[in-house]
Amino acid sequence: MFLPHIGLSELEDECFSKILPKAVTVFDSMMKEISDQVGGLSSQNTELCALLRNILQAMMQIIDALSTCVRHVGSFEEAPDLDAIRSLPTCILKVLRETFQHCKESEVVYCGRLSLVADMLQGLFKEAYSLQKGLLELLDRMSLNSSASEEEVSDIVTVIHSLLDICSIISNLDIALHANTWKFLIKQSLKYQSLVEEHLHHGDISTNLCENMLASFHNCLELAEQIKHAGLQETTQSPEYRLFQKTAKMCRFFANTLVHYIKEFKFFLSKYCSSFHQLYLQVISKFPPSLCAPTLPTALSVDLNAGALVPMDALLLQLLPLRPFAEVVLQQDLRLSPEHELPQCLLLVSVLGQLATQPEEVLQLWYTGSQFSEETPRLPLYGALFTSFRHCYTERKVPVLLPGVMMKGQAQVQVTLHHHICVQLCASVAALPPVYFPVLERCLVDAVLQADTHTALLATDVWCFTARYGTAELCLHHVLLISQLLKTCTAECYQSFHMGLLLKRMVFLMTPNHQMELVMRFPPSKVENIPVWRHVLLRALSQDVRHRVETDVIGITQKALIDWQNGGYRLGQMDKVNVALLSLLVVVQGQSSPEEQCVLSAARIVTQVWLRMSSDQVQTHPVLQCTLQLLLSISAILVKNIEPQVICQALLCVDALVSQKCADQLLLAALEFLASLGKIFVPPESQSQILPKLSSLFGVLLADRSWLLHQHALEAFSHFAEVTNHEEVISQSLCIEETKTKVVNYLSKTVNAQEDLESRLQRLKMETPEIEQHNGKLENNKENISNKQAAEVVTDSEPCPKRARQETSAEEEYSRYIQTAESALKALQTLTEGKSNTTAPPQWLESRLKELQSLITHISTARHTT
Amino acid sequence: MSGAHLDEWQRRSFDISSGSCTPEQTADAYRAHILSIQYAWASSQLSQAGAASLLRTYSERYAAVLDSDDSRTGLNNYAESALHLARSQRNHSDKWESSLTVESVLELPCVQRMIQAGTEGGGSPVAPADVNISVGQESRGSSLSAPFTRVRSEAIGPPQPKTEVNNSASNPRGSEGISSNPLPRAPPRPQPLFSHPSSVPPQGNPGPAGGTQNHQPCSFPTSNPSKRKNFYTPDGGGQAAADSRPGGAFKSAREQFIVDQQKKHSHQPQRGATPGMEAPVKKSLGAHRPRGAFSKFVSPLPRQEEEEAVTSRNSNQEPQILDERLKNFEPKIIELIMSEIMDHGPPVAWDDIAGLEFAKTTIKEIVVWPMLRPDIFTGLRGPPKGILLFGPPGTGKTLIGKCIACQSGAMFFSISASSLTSKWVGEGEKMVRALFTIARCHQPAVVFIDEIDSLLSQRTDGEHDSSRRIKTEFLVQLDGATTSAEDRVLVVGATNRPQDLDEAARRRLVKRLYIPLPEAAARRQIVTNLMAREKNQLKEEELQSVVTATEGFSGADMTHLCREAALGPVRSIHLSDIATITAEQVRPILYGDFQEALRTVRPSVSSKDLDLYMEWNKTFGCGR
Repeated sequence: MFLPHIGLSELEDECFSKILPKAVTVFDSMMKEISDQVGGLSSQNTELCALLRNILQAMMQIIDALSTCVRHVGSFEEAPDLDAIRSLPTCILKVLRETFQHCKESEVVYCGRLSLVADMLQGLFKEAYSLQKGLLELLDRMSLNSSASEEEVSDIVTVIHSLLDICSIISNLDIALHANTWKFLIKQSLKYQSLVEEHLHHGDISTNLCENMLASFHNCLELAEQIKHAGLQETTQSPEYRLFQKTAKMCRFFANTLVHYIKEFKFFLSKYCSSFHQLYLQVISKFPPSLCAPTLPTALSVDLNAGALVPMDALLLQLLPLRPFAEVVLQQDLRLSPEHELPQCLLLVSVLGQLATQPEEVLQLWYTGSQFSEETPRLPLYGALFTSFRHCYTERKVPVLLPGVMMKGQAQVQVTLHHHICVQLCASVAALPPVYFPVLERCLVDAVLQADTHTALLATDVWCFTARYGTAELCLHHVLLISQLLKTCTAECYQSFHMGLLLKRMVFLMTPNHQMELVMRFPPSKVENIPVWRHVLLRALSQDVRHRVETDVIGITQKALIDWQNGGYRLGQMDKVNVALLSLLVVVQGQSSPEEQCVLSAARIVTQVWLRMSSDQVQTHPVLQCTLQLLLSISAILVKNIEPQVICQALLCVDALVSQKCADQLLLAALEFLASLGKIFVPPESQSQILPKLSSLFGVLLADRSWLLHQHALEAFSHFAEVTNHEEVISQSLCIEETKTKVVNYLSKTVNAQEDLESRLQRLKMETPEIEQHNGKLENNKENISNKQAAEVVTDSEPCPKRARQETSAEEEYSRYIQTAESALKALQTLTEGKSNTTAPPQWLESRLKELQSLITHISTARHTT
Repeated sequence: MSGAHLDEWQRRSFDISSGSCTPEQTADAYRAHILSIQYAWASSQLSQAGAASLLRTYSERYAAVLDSDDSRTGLNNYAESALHLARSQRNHSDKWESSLTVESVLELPCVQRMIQAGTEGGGSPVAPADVNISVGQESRGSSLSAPFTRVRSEAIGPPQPKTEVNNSASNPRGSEGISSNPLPRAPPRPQPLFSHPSSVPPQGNPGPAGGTQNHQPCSFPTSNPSKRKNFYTPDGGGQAAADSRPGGAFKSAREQFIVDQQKKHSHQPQRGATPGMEAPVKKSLGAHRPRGAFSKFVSPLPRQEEEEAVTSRNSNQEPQILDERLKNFEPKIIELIMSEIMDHGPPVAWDDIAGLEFAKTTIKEIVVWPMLRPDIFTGLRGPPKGILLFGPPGTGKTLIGKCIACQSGAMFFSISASSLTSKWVGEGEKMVRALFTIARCHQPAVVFIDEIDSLLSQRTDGEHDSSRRIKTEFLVQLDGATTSAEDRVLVVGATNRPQDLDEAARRRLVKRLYIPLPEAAARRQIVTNLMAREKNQLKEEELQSVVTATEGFSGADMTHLCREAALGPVRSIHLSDIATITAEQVRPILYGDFQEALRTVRPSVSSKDLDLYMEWNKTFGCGR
């Protein structure tokens, strides 16, 4: 060959720039020829077969020649400047791309006649393979300094992008080649980072990496399924297993490359954070404890963990400081598919765990939520976590198990989702800097006041931890606030249940002095404070505070009764009596011994009200049912101090109600009362009145169709049966055979066979929308009513910004297309400039360019008009 | 559908009542109950009021489990796990301040929704037409006035419930019963109610609570031997010292009981004396609370489940499920290691160690990072199994060991030769084996051996058999047939006599780092750190001259010097004034105090010693 005779300095101008583009054209025309001719290919048509083989042979020769060029350039002791060989890489990469594309499509192109040319194609591929290898080695040896010209930089960028293009072609052809090309691509991007970072198509690169990682991950999963089904896990040497390992390795490679890439170019990747988020969710959703994770043999899952799960932590660590990522993750209404809810929740939990070591601004980013209206709205981390937990209904119900905290040399145990999140939340609270405490507070209030009880329970748990961990004054302050809220909202709504539960637990955590202060601020002697005190358990109070409350409550109860009495026992005043009874119930619940003075006075009050109750009126007036319920609950506790006649009266009322349809809370209270009757001995003279009623009531209630009532009836009955002296009631209650078997089964603790996991899961998944609808209805219901006011609030606080993701995705599309157009035009430019001294551009170019120009003006004017 | 729910419910409630559940399981079961109730409500199998009443019952029981700090029946708010996770971070809880006020809380959207819901449901439950219906008697309007006057007059007299109830009950709805019957009612009589206190014996807790506490079996302490000794409170040193008993954070039931007992006896006087003092002191439920506030923890409470609790206590099962690997060891040994050797001191950050940049970088690179990212540091990059820190005494070797554990999130075991040999002659090697096994259960773990030379000195012929056996066991555990490459147990030895070390031990402690005397910059940092907490008037150049004058001082010597200097102002006080002077009147520490102190404090390390270390470092060390 003549190459050695041309000096390095002239190589480009004299030879490469002239010959190589031609070689590319020739190569292209050969490809075209093949695709034109291949239609007639058959084993009979030897002529055509020979022609095709000849073309392929010629293609191989071109590639060979190119290889020689590369080898020649590579043989210089010092690698030449890129400038000196600039046509070489571009042209070679074009040829390579064509070749690989052809090999990839060969099955379709030669449809069935592949065997006739398979050997040639194989040869072609091998040649191309070694050409690429040579080229990459050559490029690797070259280097640019920071003052490189713009042309050189754009050359490098073109090389990187062509390689990216090749990568996507060869992804299914050859694993090693694919991986090596990627490795080289990333290496080059980093080598010239400062030069090329402005020009690279970061979106394409990162998207490709994500896609490749996911593809190999899904391949792994499929292979693992196959291996599992075939029962091959025993033979670790089987080809399937080796393929699996290889794929897992690829997965790990892509994941780590992605992490590395993000680390280096994080400032250019802000637009693609949502795809990283999706990647994270998709990967995590395939691992336990996710419900759609496959169960795999240990050996496989270890490999898979190393391949995909472990890098995800590193990925998260890189993404953590990125504002756009936080905005994507903490979006206000993130609509995720059901299988991604748990991964999202776990994502937030691991963010929570990793925040501890992050600098101030990252904490600020995650903890506070968006503070100004011009920011993309995002939730505070705690708020997002509670929301996400609420969405994981199925997982909570199953419940899914996660590894617990390992301590004290005990084996690590599996804990439920609630437990896990609660511990993590508390741990984060324990290290919470004071600046973020107000955010935590608000999130807790929000979470307690939303409709899902289980989530509210979680928030309550965290709040109690906070109360114990923080100062006593803080606890007092919170208790006073909660009390104020309860006082303001007297209606029976889910918010007041949740608040009441919280108050109940918080009072246990107060100091005696502070409890006294609570009494001072909300004196129980005032009727309007009863909504607060009805939630407090008196045994939480210290001795003197408790006495004070008891005295006050009994005082107002008596006053209410006297008022009622003086007013002529009017029905209209009944709600006041109910409130009084409610507070009496609180006092009675706190009593331990039946001899205490206030028990006696309570018993007197109850007896008095009982005697005014008649079953007819109870049936017609709902307010009296409420009274009845309270009376039953109080009497269940005071049963030893109550006269048989009163009991008889109570049974009459209950009996009248049970015979028709009646509210279930009443039945529950009745059951409580009936259960307590086991404790007393009915004097002989009233036995004939009471005992038959008792057994018939038990009989009816045990047969209740609602499962919860049935269960409580069983509990009440067994409770009664354990202690009562009147055994005859037991047998008389069970005269129906079906009831009897149920009771016997319950007492012997036999339960039906457990339903299998699959159908249980199905059932739980069906339940999810039902609960969500219900919760939504509870919350929206209230919203509809307060629509007018809410609208006002919204208008003067801040305008509703557009939904974030739509905006970014539209913008993303714009930028993608404009980038493609730009790069194509630039390529055209280099083509025309490069060729100007050798051959004229095709004639149609001029007219097509004009068309393009008009198109551009069209686009820009269209944008102005809309 | 509902059948499945019933089955699940029953299964759970049998589990709860069986008493064989751990508190975690009980809490989970109650949570599942609550979810079931919620679903029943959502699917209209239960009314809102019914759901509310059931939720109240079960959430109360749940709270009893969750908030109780009795380790048998309660979970103590998951404090142990949560604080374990947060162990190397600072506690700011004493600075938390609520931003919510009564007004601002009403502004929150969720609260507004709640109030809205309240006003919407607030209508009168009785139809207006029915308001005047008299309860208890349908048709008697006219005859009402008579009995009322009578009732009122009777109300003052003593009630006679029995006979009258009999009358009325036989004819409960009849008008005759009403008109002739002055209802047995409790008139407003404040006296008997206010006289309660006299009839009730004073007690700190409600009666039953005291009962359960008395039940605490003596095995109780075993279940929490490794409770963290205290929280780290950066600026609460004084208060923390006042309450130095273990478990200062959350009281165990027994401790609570003792506190209650003490309070019972000195209840009144304390009350009288303390208010003035209590007021300015911030009382925290967390780390440091004056004793007066302990009564806040009235739990563990016998909530609804008194009976159940008793049955479960009878079964008296060992709640601690130990790792299988630990089965072969005597519980006594394990307990001892857990309580004495495992270290739970305050967290140490790298910045707390002055100077020693090289040692710190090396350690971060080979120890801390591998522990944080075990997936990267595999194979050849795998971390070493042992490190030797050697150098003159008082240069921070122990501090580095602690810092390693803290910063790598590893469990820290600190042992010295004496803890292995003196107490159990002949059992030493068992201790060593148990120690390493426990460490392996707690991976990642750092085993720190102070004065390792005394434990692993050259093996000679004349030495005692038992100490030789301990040495052998140690060497085997460090790197022998029983250890595996994946174990993340790091042994850090510290010594100031590296030349005495057995050569086999030397081989196993791969990285041998020289911890030199502090350089000028480090000495300066030490002085600045120590002086920052005291009143002082040291100028920049005075500080510089102190630093120059202390060439050859070790870190401990520097501390000693500062202590000595800090005593200067006190010494200058006249003897007669010492009784009356206030703390503010003591003058700040001056440069002169340092000059005075430098006269008495001399460096504890001789240059000859230093040469020895340098020599050894050149031969075996891996520093610069």
